[in-house]
Amino acid sequence: MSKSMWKRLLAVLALISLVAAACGNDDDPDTSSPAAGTEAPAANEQQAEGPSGAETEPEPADEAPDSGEPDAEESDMADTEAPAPETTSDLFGEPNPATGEPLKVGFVSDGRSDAIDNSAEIPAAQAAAAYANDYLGGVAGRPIEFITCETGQTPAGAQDCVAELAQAGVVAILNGVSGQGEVLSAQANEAGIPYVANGGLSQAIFNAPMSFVIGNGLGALVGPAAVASEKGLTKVGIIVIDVPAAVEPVSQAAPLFYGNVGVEADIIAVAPGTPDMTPQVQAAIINDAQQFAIIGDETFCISAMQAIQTLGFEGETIVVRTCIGEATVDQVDVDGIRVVTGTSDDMSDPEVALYHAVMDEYGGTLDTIAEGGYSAVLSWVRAMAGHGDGEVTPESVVETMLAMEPAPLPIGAQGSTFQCNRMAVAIAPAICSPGFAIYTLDENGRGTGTSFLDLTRVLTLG
Amino acid sequence: MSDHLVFLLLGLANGAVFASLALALVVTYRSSGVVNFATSAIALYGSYGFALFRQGELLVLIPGLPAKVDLGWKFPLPLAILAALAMTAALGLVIYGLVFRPLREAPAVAKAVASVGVLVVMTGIMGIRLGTRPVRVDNVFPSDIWTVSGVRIASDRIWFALTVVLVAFLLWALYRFTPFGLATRAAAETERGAYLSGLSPERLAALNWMLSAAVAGGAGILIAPIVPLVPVAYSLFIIPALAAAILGRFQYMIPAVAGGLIIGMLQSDMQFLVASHDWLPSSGMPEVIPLALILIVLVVRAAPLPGRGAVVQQALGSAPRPVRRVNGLGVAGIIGAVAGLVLLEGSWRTALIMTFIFSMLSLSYVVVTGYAGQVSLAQLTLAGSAGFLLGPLAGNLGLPFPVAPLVAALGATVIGVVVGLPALRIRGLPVAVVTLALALVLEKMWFANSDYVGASGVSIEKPSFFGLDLSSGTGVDFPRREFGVMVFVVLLLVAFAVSYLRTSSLGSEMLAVRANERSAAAAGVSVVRVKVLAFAIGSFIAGLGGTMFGYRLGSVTFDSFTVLLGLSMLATSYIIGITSVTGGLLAGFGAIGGLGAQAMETWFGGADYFETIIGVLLIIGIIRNPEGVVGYFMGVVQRYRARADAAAPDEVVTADGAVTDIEPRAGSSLRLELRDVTVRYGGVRAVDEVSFAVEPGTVVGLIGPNGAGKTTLIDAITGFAPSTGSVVLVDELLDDLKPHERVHRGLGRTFQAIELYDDLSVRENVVVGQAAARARGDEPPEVESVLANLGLASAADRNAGELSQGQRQLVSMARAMVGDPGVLLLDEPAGGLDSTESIWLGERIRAIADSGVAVLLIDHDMQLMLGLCDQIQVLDFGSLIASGTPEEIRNDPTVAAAYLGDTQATLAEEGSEQ
Repeated sequence: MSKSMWKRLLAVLALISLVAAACGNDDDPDTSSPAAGTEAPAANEQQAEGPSGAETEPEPADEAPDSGEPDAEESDMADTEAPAPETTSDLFGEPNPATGEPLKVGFVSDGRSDAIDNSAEIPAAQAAAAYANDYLGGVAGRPIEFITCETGQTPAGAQDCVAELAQAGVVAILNGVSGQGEVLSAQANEAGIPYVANGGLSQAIFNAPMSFVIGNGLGALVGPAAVASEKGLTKVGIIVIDVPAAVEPVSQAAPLFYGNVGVEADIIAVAPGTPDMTPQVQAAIINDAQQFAIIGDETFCISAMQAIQTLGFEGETIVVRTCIGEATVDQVDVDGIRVVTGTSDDMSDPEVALYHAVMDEYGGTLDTIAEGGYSAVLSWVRAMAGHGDGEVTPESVVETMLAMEPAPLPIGAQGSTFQCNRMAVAIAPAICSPGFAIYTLDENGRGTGTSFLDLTRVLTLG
Repeated sequence: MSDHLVFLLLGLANGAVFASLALALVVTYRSSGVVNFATSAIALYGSYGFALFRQGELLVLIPGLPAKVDLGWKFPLPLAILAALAMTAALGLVIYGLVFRPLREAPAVAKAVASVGVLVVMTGIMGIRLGTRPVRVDNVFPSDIWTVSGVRIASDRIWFALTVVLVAFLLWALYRFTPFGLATRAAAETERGAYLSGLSPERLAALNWMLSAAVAGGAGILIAPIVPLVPVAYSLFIIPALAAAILGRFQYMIPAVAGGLIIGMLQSDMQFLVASHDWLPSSGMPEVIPLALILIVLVVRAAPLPGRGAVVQQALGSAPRPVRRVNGLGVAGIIGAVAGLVLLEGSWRTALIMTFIFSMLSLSYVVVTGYAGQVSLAQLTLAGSAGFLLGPLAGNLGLPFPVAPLVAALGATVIGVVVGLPALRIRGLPVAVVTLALALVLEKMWFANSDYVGASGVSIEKPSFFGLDLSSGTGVDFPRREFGVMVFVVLLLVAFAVSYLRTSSLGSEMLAVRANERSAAAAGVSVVRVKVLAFAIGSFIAGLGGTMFGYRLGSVTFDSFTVLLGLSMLATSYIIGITSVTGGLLAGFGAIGGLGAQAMETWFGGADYFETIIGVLLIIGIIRNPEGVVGYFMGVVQRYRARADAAAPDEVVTADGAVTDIEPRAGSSLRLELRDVTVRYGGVRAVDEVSFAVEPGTVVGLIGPNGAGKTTLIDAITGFAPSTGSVVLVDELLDDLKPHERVHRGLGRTFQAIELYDDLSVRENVVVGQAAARARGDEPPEVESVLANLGLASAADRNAGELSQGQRQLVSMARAMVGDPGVLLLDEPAGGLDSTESIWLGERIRAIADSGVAVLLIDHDMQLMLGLCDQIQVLDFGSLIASGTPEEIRNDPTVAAAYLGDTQATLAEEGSEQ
């Protein structure tokens, strides 16, 4: 059901969520990078910081024939990829069909309006569930039956969704990423149903006992902080869309994280609907910003990057992955822009290959929105692997997820894992994966030089 | 270079965006009288068209056809621009033909609402068909970086701003110097004028629509390289653009463009100030700039939008008086609602409750817009303010349940009165624009400002009443029936209150203000008080709705109360019926998440096109039924009833004795004296040092050729026209008093163009006039007896709109009479009467004078004047040229000369008759 189809200008909120979606993670920081590039400036200084200093391994980690050509740009990627390294059956494994009575699970999406379009989440989530039902034995041996709901991008719509799903008797509410994540999380927790999202950037979600965020939403903040620290900068600008759901977490967390590494963060909140951002960016430059981080979706990021480039800013610009799409590469000189990301772009990673194969087999597009839906569902299935054949209830779901063993992160780089034991990131218990990666774009918008950054020094409560 | 200069310069690009849209707004308004909210959507269409031509594709908006047709050839830049301009011009023609041609004589408000419909339809279709991914747009101008005194500026932005200025000059020249432009300006003055000049106004209008659409499209093409092109990209630019257009008074292109540039530049500098000063609110300051400029221009200068030569002025549908407080339909509605609460489950019950909440919000529109005629676009924002206040009131301050929402609604009331203050100085659509700009400031500076509102919003304590949990619940329980019952009870109370308001004297005064502020003031109604009360009551109702919405959500965030949602909500209320309680109640069905949407979703599988359909319905609704759907059905019912009542007598003005004698006036006698009263319009003295007196018990006639200044003199006496000299009532100087205050002192007047309230009954029309006597603390004359005095007793319950011209004159007099005036100023009361009626009217006026009233009478009916008046004053070119008894005037050669041919002949003829 999509309530209110009225036009929402609040693309905005979606941005935030996108952010989070983008900053998923990878793994323990000391995992190797399979990317072709080997430049990892972050690593060098951080090795000193502790055992989790980033390292890179120049060797491609698998036998993929095309591993020398990592495919960095995935948004809108037509299905013209080189074939996956393994055959579909290698990737999928032995069929293990789920049996028995279908298990009702809710999947919520912001759906589509003329402001934002998150609808690609739904087919991707359906595809992931179908794959799990065919090859992973579903959840607790039972096939997943999705009940989907669209928020219409309003709080009231999100509230309706949770109510509707609760009344349908779902055992969990899954979501790729939503501008209404706060409402979904709060309402689901009150209704006693676990909320599992791929992305989210909100203290309220991070602390909600029955909420789980698979990716590391803090990456968008922490990544640039780590880079700034590594470069010995003292002041940076963070350009973020001016709505509370984005500004509040940024303004609360940024001083802390950046402060941990001795960097002052200037938060530049730009009102939605601002045609030209040069005044805001100029104000930040006058205030001595030495680096910019941008948190937003493609449209917002294009404006921000154009303003930064127009003003001839010479420091680094670090964006979240949702910033980069066809239009960005078309309209902005992306050469040298750095991207923080949780998911891998490298087809030589088995998880990436699996994602492509599932989308190919079960139907679904390949873009950052679809990734969120796929990832949320498959992560949940993996997190539920330890559930026995007993009755599945919201309580048993939470119990199982808390007790899960580390599992491979969907679409993560090789070796990336997640674990929803509420300990991956101490200050944000709901987050299931601690790490993240950063890479640099070339002039064609392809990522090079992926490296994994150390979080420990940044991600503490100081 | 100083930092401020840098920022002003950097703001040029934003300014050029606003300026280009403001230019399109002005061109549209000048030629068609439409404040076109869809301008940004047309601009968007132009930019998509342009972007796709560059990629070798043709944009197709018609649902069902492919969105893009491959042309197989990428247009070069100039051709792509021309093709896109042609395409938007064609769109302009289509919009004119389908929407605004049928509405060409509709009131400005209806046209503006229709343009909201066009906006909704266009953005809806483009959103669905083009997706939300930004489309690549090539630069139109070379984008070098220029360094000016160390400041880097992208050259394309400067070119952009210069181009907009150039286009403005070209358009100015086009309208100033070409035959087309002259004809357009003539047509804007009066359609009849255009006919006389041999031009087809329709063809002119069509051409102008094509031109204005092309201007908007051109704006879009210029904006596109700067703003990533997505369907909603331009929506919020409309507010600064409207502000800029208002700076040009919707007439002058160069000031509008300058205004746009200034807004962009000041906003840019404001960004710098906000970044440098921590004490400034971190959000919302830039939005203050357009608001401040609008307020300065509108409120300080109090300059209304120049009206066009329109004939039709009825702005809104009639607001019928409820026959009974609760009729069959109402009972059915209550039963249906209760049954719904009991029977419906899950999302249907949610939809029912949302319907209740939005019905409440629509009722606030009914009061503010439907009754008092003030177009407020801030009602949803006001609801939001109550929601945001409710959190701390019920939380930190710990106010208990019924108190907290009431106090929150009172808070919204205070804000609503502030929002309404500009309406005290201005009228009509500018009020709408001001409320829109204010709403945006409230949204940005408060609701969406993370200084005050966190990411989770403001959480709201669950309501409970004597231990009864009234909260909306969560999960399986949501929405709890108890909550639904609470909302329904509140809605019922509000509906009864609004229905009571309609029949109260305040309600009559509101309708009087809506119909005509001048005549309301002349009836002794304090227009300011009525407007303030309307905004206060409307805001209180909106506030109650907002608290209910807040309780439903449990935590309020800005995105439930945005300005654009408010715009949609007004549209929905308008389609369904904004002038009656029934309409307000039913409007909830069409609202966001209401039963209508739920039904559509359940039975038609939801729909991407829901919004578009609403927009189309809105447009059709306005064209076919300016009174809204409910108004249409009420009209049908009324016609049916009227047929049943066909036996009722039609003619009232009779000389056959259906009148009662007029009692001698109880109040003290008043003597009116004019001392050197002068009215200047620019360099012209419309009234020049006029002095005379009107004694109680006498009738003084004021005659003179057309344009002599007779009505202007009455306007000066009653305070409607600014004058020098003195107006003295007995011993009191009235010069510094406002019209309604003068009426309270004992002046009563009627208008030449009889300004009655057509949807009020005769009795209600007259009741409004009692305000004057009450303000003096006197017991006003009985309405019934005054009606009987004037032979209107049997017509008391009919709508004024149904009466004959002669009857209307009498109603107008009766309205003045119930204010118990000591001085009565009658402006052409015999207009439209035949000679028998005229004689009869003369007898009534004499009887009024005999009761102790001083009467000043203007009329062209010389027989009446010469037979009735004790004294006659003759005015020509603003000066008194003669005064004396009818006999003296008849024989005065100056008078005859002033009247020249025809009147002289009349005088001579009348002289010979007697």
